[in-house]
Amino acid sequence: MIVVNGEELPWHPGMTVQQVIDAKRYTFRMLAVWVNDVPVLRERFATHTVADRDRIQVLHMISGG
Amino acid sequence: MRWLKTYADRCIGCGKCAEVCSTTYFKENNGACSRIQVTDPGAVRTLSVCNQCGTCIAVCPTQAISRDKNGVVQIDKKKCTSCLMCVGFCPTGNMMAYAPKQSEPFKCIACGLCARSCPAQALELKND
Amino acid sequence: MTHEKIAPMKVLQEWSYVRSPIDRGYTRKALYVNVGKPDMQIREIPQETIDAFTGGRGFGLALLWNAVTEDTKWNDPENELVISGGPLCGITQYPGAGKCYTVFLSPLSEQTYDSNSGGYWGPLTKFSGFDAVEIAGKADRDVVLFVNGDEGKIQILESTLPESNAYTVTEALHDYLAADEGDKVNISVVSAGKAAETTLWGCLNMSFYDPRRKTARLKQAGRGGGGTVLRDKKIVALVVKYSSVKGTENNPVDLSTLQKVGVKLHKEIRDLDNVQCRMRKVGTPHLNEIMDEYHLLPTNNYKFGQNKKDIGKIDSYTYEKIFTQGLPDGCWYGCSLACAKAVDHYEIQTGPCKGRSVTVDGPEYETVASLGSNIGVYDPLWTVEANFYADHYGVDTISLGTGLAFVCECYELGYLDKAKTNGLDLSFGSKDDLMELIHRMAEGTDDFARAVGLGIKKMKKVFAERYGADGAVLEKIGMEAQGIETSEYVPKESVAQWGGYYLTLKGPQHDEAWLIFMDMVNKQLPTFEDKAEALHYFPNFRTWFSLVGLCKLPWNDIEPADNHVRYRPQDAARVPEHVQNYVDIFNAVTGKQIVKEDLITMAERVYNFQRLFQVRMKHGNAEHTIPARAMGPVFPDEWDARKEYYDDKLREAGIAPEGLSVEEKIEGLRGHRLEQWADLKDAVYKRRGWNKKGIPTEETLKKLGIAFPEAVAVAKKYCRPEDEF
Repeated sequence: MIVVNGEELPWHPGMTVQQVIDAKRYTFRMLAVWVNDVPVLRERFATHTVADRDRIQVLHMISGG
Repeated sequence: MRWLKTYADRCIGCGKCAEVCSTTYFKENNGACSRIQVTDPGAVRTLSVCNQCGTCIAVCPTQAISRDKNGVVQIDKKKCTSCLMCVGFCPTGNMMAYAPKQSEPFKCIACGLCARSCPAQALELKND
Repeated sequence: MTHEKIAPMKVLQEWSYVRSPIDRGYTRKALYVNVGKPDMQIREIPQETIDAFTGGRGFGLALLWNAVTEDTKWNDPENELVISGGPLCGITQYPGAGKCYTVFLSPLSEQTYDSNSGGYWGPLTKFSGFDAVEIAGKADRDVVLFVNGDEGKIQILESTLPESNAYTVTEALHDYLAADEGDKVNISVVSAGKAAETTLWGCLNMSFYDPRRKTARLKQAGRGGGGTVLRDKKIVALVVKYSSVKGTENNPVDLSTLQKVGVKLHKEIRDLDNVQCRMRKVGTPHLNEIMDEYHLLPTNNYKFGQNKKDIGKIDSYTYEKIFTQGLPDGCWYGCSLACAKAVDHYEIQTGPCKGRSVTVDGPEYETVASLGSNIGVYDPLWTVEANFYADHYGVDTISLGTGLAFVCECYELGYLDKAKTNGLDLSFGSKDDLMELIHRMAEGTDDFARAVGLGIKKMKKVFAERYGADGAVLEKIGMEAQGIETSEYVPKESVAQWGGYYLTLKGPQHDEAWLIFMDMVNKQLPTFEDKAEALHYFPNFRTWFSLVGLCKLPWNDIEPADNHVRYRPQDAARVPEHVQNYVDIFNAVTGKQIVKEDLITMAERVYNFQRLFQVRMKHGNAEHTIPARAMGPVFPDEWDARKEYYDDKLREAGIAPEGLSVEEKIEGLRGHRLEQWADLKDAVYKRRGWNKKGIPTEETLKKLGIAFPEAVAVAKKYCRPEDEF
C-alpha cells in the first residue's frame, strides 16, 4: 500500500510513478511528483519506481482561470 | 538565397569579423553588437550567425520581418515594436538585441563584409 | 465581415490638449470627459494616488470613489466608466502586457465592478497621454468619443453608425479613421452592442487590428455589465488613435532587464508550451477535457461536472482543428503565449448576419463551457456562432451561458413552458431555440427574453412572481452571488474554492483564486487556516496584475522546466521564478526597488479599499452568499451520478448513509457543508483583517496605509463592536 495525496492506493512491485498517476486518473499535463519528499523529473515518471509504503504527492500545477 | 556559410574549423579566433560587423552597423567595436558570434575561443570554436531560415517571419506580430528579393531575412525597423518574440523564437539564437544601442532586434543580412575581412577564409557568402 | 462606409460624423465638441510624455510607466494624467455636459478636463494624478493605488484597477477605484456617493445608481449620470492600464501596460517586451481594467458601478451587482480586457485600447490611450480615461455623464444622442493621440484632440462625434453592434461599429470605425490599410493597427475601438441596451449583461468589446487576417479582432471586458453602462451613456464607441508604436513608450529606466526577462519567457514558451498547456495552439480551451475528467466542467447548470459521453465532441483537439493555426495570436504586441485564438471563414447560420463569412474570436474555455456543456450543447460550431453573436450584440458570454443554464433547468423543472417562453423549447441542449432566444434578447421586444437579460438574481424574482416557480428551489439552483453569474468551474467539492468564488470582492468570478486542484486534488490545504492563507495570498497576488496592466495567463499557464522540482510543493504553485520576473520588470519600468512581498502589500491596499467601497455602496450590508448548488448536490440525480463518492463524503461528515433516502443524504451533507462555509468565512475574514461582517477594520486600513479620512469614516460607520473577532 502506498499513500498518494493522503489517500491509500494498492501497490505492486515495479509500480512506476506514471502507473500511480494513471491509477488516480490524473490526466493533467503539468504534474509535479514528490516521492518521500524527493522530487521526480517529469521525464522520469515512466521509469521511476515506487516502493511499498512510499508517501507520494502528485501536485497539479495549475491555478486556473 | 544569399546567406553566410561558416567554416569553424578554419577560424583562428582573431575577431576581425565581429569588429567589422559591429563597427559597420553600430559605429563601435563591441562584441555584443556583432551579428556574428565567435565563441569558445580557447577550445572548440563555433561561428554562430543567422542561416536565413525565416522562422522569425511568422512569429512577428507586425509583419516587420520579411525576405527581400535576394532571400535575405530583413527587419523593417519602422514596423517593429521591439517585442523580441523573434529573439526568443529564433532556433539558432542569432536574432540579437542590445538595449544600450537600440530597442529593436538586429540580425545578419548577409552583406558579406565579414567574409571579405576574414584572414582565414572561415566565412563565405553563398548565393544558392 | 463586409460593411458599408459610414457617413461623415459631425463634431459636436472638440478640445485640444498637449500630450504628456510617459515617464517610468506613468503620464500622471487622467482624461475626464463628461459626454452629457459636455466637459473635458485633464486631471493630475498626484504621487499619493500612485503610492496608494499603483494604477489600473486601483486608479479606477480611486477616481470612481470621488465621483459617486453611497446612493449613486448604475444608471445615474454620475456613474463612470474608468479605464486604466497601469504602469506596465503597453510594454512589448514581456508577454501579456496590454491589459486595461474598467471600473464602474455594475447594473447587476449595484456596487463596483472591475473588468479586464486585452486589445489595444489600454496601451494606445496611455501613449496618447493618459494613465486613466474617466467617462461620466449621459449624452442626449448616440455619440462616439474619439481620443486622437496623434493630433492631441478629444472629440465627441455624432454617431452615423447604422447600429450599435460590435463588429459593425468596430470595422466601420477602423475604416473611417485610418488613412490606409496599414494605419488600422493604430486604432482601437471600444464598443458594446444591441443586447447591452436590452439586457444588464452588456460587455465591452475592445479591438485590435489583425494585419494578417485584415480584420478587427475583439477582446472583451465581459463581466459585470460595463457595456450596459456604456450604452446607458448613449456612447456607441470609444475610439483611440496613436501611431507608430515603438515599444519603448513607457520610457522604462532599464530596457536591458526588460529585454532579458522577456526573452527568457519567450524561450520558455517556445520550448515548453507544447508539452504544457498548448496555449499557442488552442488557448484556454486546453482545459476542456481536463475539467471534465476532474468533475469540474459545468454540465446542465452545474448539476454535474462531467459528461463522458459527449466531451470528445468539444475537447481541445476538436477546437484545435477549428482554430486557425500558426498565426501570432497575441492581443497585444509581444505576447508569445498567443492564446487569442480565432475561427476564420465561419459562415453564420442564423440571425441578422446569416450567410456572412466572419472571423470569430474564441471561444475561450469559459465560453466552451457556458455556451456549451452548461446548457447541454455539445456542438462546437453552435458555440462558435453563439460566441460571435454574444460579442456582436455586446453581451457577456459567461453570464449569458450561466443564465441560460438556469433558464434550461427551470424549463425542465416545469417552471417555464412554451406559453411563458413565447414558443421556445428551452430544454438543455435545445440549440435552435436557445439561439433564437439570444436573438430575441438583442431585439428587446419579447417580454420573456427581456426578463432573462436581467440576470439570474432578478430572474429568480420574476419567475417566482410571474410564473409561480418555487422561490426556494430557484435560490438553490440559481448560480449567482452578489448579482453576478458564476463563471465556469464546478466549485462544489472544494471548500477553498467556495471562498475563491463566493468570498470575493465582486462575485463569483475566477479572477481571484482558483484553488480547486490545490485543495481538492493535491490536498495541500487541509485546515481552514491553510485555506484562508491561500484565500489571502492568491486574490491579492492576482489583484496585482490588475494594478499594473498585466494578464494573469503567462504567470502560471506556462512554467519554467524545473519549477516542479526546484521548489517545495507549496511554493511551486506560486511559480516563484515568474513572480521574480514580475518584480524585475516592475522595477525595470518604474525604477522602484520593490521585492516580492511588496506585490502583496500593493494589492492589499486596493483589495481592501475596494471591499470598503462595496460596503459603502451596500450601506454596510455587503454580504457574501453562496447558492446551494455551488456547495453540493441539490437533487437526487446529482447525488446518484456520484453515489459512492457522495456516500463517502457523508461518512467523512460523521453521518452514516445507510438507511437514509437520497433526499435525507443531501440534507445531511448540506448541513455539514453550511457549517464548513461558516468556518471558512470566519477564517478568511480574520486573515484578511476584516470583522465578522467582512468589513476591513480601521486598524487594517492604518496598517496598509490607506486610512484616508473618507475611508475610515465608512469603516467607522459600519463596524460595530459586537462584530469584532
